Amino acid sequence: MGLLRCFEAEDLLEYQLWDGSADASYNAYLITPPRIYAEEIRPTTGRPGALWGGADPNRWGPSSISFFAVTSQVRWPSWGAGRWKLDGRFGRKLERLSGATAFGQMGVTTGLLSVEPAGAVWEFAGHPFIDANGAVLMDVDTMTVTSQLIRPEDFAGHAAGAMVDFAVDRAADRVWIRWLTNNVGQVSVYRLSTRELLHELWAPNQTNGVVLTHDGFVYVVDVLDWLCVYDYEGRLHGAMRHPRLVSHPGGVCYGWDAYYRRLLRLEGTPVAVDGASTLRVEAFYPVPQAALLSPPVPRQVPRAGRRVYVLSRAVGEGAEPIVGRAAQLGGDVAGAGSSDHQGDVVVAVTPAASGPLEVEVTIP
Amino acid sequence: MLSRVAGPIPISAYDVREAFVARAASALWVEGLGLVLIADGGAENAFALYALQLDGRAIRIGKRLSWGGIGWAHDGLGGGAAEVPCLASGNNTWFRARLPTTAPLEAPHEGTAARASFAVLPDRVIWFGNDEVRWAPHDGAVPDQPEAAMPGNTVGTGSVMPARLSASESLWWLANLESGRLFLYDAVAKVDVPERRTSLGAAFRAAAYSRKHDLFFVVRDDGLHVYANEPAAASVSVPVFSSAPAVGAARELSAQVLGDLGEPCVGRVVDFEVTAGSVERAAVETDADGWARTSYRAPLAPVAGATATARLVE
Repeated sequence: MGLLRCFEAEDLLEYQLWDGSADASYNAYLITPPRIYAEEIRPTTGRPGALWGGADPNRWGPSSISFFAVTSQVRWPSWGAGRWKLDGRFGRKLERLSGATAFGQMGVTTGLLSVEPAGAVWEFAGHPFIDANGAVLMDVDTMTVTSQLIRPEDFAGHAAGAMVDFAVDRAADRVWIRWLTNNVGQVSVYRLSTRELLHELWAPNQTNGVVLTHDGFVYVVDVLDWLCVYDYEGRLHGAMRHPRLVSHPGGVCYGWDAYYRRLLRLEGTPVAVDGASTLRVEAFYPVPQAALLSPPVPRQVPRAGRRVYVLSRAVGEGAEPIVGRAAQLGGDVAGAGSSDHQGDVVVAVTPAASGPLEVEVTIP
Repeated sequence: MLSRVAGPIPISAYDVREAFVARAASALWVEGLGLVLIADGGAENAFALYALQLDGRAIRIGKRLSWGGIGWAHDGLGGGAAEVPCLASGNNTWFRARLPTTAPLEAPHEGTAARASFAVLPDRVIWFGNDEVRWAPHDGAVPDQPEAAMPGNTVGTGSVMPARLSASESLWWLANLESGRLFLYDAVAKVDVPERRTSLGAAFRAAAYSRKHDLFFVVRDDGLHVYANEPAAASVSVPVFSSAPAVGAARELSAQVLGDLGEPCVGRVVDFEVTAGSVERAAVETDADGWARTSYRAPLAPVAGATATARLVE
């Protein structure tokens, strides 16, 4: 259940095959039979990578979806970075860019990744190439690291290496940071230019990403798969849950598709027997689906000829209310109702006679 | 005792990897979320927040922290006349919070010992335990002390639940989890409303009240129980005449329907039968005091051994 799914990519995120060349000094398990691929995604800080989408005309349609991730590879220096690009309409493979086949190109190792609304990707880590710790802007078209840096120590009271989650929007002059010293689920929001603390956002549990939309909203994701929707002023607009059914080692990452206005999602999945990627991008509208419709409970004691109301609740995966869904009565009574703004379906029934009364509520 | 309309509904965690047991007395009915409870122990979910649904499934909504209690604030702050959920931590602090995010809406108030269930009023914090309501100032500067006695309890923590709140009213349900006794407490006058004394039937683990639905949600070890806010009828009194019947004269004939603790039962239908004479209406609904009243007219000639009976319909 969870959110309303609206897209599933036709193509998987393919790995590069091992060409058998001599340079295979690292990660020998990748090409130990029956495995045949020269790489696999190496999730960073519990997430597969960075995911985003937007206008990008191509032969299949008007937009594309990009996924950027750190990889383990058999070649020196054992790690790399890749960008997979799919078309946004069907999810067909468009291109695959590589970086970091040698030090000095894409210096991505184990850092946090975050995507700006405009599609720029930032990474937070220690960067030996620029001799600093912080969030660095990456050029994912040329697969190089730029010199733009956001240092934790520039924020009053914080030290290098203190960020555990972050997001940046240069156009809106904002930066969202969950510090190591923050409370559980707490995200601090600053003005980027002045490092002035503006307000705090909260998720129910430890955060697992801060996703920015193109139109001024912020999805704070947590480790129990809650998505809390805030605006740039810190107002909460809703909370919903889209849980994983299995705890995959690769974790899960969300992104925003500015063209189709949908949440992108990639969940880590085990590789196939031969090492092939089984990763597939999905997209969801931020509309929770009913996970539970509770059996009706009478609000008054039912008696023959007495009009009483029965209560049933339609909720999503996080007990969030499912609003405005039509409901049908069945069993010994007939009628219809709908869920209100709190997910409550309240309908009147009048038992005709004493004795057992069977009432069913369904959401067609 | 109130009328049970559902239950026991077995309780289990929605996530099959978790086991859920409710922490004693700590519960809020939060419209739009359900019965919000603090978990009791467990390696994976100790003191995490859950939202229990009416099918018995407990959905984990909040983090595992050492929450000590959960309550409501109704002091005109943080949302005007509406009550606001509060969380109390194990280190003697409480604060208004947004659920399910648990985002604090204010700096924590320190110094008041964490209670499993409490209410924040403009001038004090109250809670219910054993046979009394106790209070302490917001900052805990004065040791807590008794405020009012609630008879009929000996021991047991209590739940505090908003019943009717406005700018001038501050009525709270108080339930003792050992005895199951339920009181309607006027926090302005600092007395309970004697005619509303009733019971949730038996001991329980946690309880909460929904003003929207006028229902009590009660968690026991055997599951979730739901009670309508209407006492279950336990007795119908012997019908009485307003004055001694006289040949050919009309008299009021009445009978009272009461719960097992003497609570008046409203809206119950009483069927009057007489062996001589007639009643104007045989089936009559009880009023706010539990009385059903009809008009009786005696026969024109005396009848020996005539009887009048009152019977509860359903």
